[in-house]
Amino acid sequence: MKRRDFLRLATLAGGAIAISPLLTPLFNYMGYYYNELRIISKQYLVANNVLGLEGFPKYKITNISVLQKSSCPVYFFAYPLTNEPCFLVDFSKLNGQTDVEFKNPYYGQFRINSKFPTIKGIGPKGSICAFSAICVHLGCQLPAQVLVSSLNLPGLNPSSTILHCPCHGSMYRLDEGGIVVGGPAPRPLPIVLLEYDENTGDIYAIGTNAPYFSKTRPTSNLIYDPDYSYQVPSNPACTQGG
Amino acid sequence: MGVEEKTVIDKVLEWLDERIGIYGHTISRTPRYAFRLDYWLGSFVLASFTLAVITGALVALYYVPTDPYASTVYLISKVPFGALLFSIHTWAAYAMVFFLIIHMTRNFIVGAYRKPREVMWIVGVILAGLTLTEAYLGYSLPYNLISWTATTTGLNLFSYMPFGLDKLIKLMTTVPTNLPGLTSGVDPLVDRFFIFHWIVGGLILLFIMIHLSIFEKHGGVTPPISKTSGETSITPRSEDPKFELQPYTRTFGMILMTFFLTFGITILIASLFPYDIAMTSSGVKYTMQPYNPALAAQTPPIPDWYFLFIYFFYKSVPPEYASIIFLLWIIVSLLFPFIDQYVFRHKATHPVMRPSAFALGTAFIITFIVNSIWAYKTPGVDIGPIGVEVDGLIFLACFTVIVPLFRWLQHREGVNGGNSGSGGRLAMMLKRVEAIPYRPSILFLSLVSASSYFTALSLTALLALNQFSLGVSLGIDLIILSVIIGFFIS
Repeated sequence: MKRRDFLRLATLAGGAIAISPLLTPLFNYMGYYYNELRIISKQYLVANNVLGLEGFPKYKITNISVLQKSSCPVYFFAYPLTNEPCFLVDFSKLNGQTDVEFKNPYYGQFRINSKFPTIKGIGPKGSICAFSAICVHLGCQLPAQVLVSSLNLPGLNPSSTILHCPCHGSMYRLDEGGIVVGGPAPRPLPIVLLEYDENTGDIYAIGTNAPYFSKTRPTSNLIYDPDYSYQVPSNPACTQGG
Repeated sequence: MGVEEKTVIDKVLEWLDERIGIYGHTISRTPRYAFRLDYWLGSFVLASFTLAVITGALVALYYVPTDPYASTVYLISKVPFGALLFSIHTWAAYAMVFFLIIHMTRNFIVGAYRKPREVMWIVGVILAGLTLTEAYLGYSLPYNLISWTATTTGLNLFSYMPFGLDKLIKLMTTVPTNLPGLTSGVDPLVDRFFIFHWIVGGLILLFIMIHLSIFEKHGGVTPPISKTSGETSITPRSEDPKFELQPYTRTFGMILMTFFLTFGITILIASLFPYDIAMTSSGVKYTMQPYNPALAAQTPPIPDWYFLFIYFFYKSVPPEYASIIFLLWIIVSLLFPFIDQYVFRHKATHPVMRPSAFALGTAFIITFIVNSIWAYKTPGVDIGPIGVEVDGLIFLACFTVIVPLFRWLQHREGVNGGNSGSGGRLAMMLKRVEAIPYRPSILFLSLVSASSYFTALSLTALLALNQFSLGVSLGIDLIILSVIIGFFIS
């Protein structure tokens, strides 16, 4: 190498080294390395979740008597963050199925699922399950409250239990554990694991079988995606669509 | 030409010229053959950018990022001429994207990206990317039901990008939710998008400067398409009148004309078809609903027309593959001149001399159109792998049809045909057009009087505060003015 070229390259490398200490402060300033947990933990129903999917709080969703009063098969709640919409679905009201049981699509993928090779419906009829209302494709909110007669319309089709996302047409079949039956979704819809207290009739959420839409760190507990603002629809939520 | 006495203005201008160089020491003169609209398509893009910047600065005066929807509604329904400015800003942005596509297509067809203009093409592709980014950011700002859902969904698709691009986007779009001064329910990201809308606008300006300085470095316009390799920039040829370099007045007249034409057309369309604005008996209304996450879940968020082709890929294949297709699309567009030169080894600018590059580019253009229409026709419904399969077939078809056809054309017309091909025929046609007798003075006078009539109409509308009829007469007036300038420079 000629001396002139060496000097030029050395100047460039020196310049790069000189400005490199500025990168971390710049990144910090831009916000990627925000102490996300510190901000987000305020939104957790139970603060300081450090165990990831296994450390999810036990949260009372509602009582079975509340569900029995309404004819609507879906009931919305937020879990685990106050702005992450999920819904209970009662298959006995949706298409008359009772004692629902299906394979856990995420069995073998996350440690929490080792206790749940299959997922059973809860409640007196064994027909209640819960799912995330956030599409795992690109994070759109799923219109589970809109009951539709056709598979081609965005919403929940009662007879086939297929939930159709309005954004890019992903379709999840709920009575088989939220598996993808159409559209570009890369993985099944996450299920919220439930517990039922037969004495009081209370329904509890105890965890989820997979992270919601979150591509960057799917194994962490940071399911909250700060890029998207969701809102939990108020109950009773059902509307007729199409 | 005799020696004329210098006027006061001449002296002032010369004083300035000595110090700052106003007489275009860096600006090339344009040869006679280039005074056709297709040589000035970039000027249309610049004109729509200028219009968007002017109206954007005015619209921004009333924009409040912590309550974006309410301030948009206020601008449209309460501020004098607010609705017109909002509509012009949107249509000017659409015009910019539209003219940009036309400009890029034309430069692809005539091979203007070839050596030594490869970097100019790359800067142009960067400009196209920045313009689409700017449009994306602007689309989000009114914070209405469709725009904000489409924006956040669009942002989420970057989380599937490989090579750490997902982290880069995350870095730019993570905003603390506890920023003071936020209205509850408004995403703090809007504030950042508003700032980015300005920053990206500044970057567009910077890259336009670079683009233009490279343009001047190569002596301005491209030479006419040729079947032989060789000349890459204009060299004055005294023997050929169509190569005669024209005075600057004609260049600036042309620029002025294209600016007036673009301004006129955009303002006319913006007034005839106000963007998302309805005229009701109680006044001007914004037709879009405010953003509401629960309602958004029931509405397919359709992106604007220029993003439909990307939306198509995400509806067709799993997002990881769609991201790779998206990246490949960008990389091939960026490196197109080098693919032409080193992969296909084409030797000259004439389309028939570039069969493979022409097939590749044509396939890009056809798939862009097919994908956009297909995605538009199927909102909220997935397309499935058939979508990308059809795209693949289009690429295959373009190569199997265009390459042999152009090869055959090369041999039929002979490689050594030189410039006598389409250039010569065109000159003949132009001569024939010039031979048609007409009375320019009568047409000119009627245009001037029409212009005065529409100016009077504009003034009336201005006095009556009727913004959209003002827009209509102003638009028509500007178009007529551009035709009048056309008389002076033709």
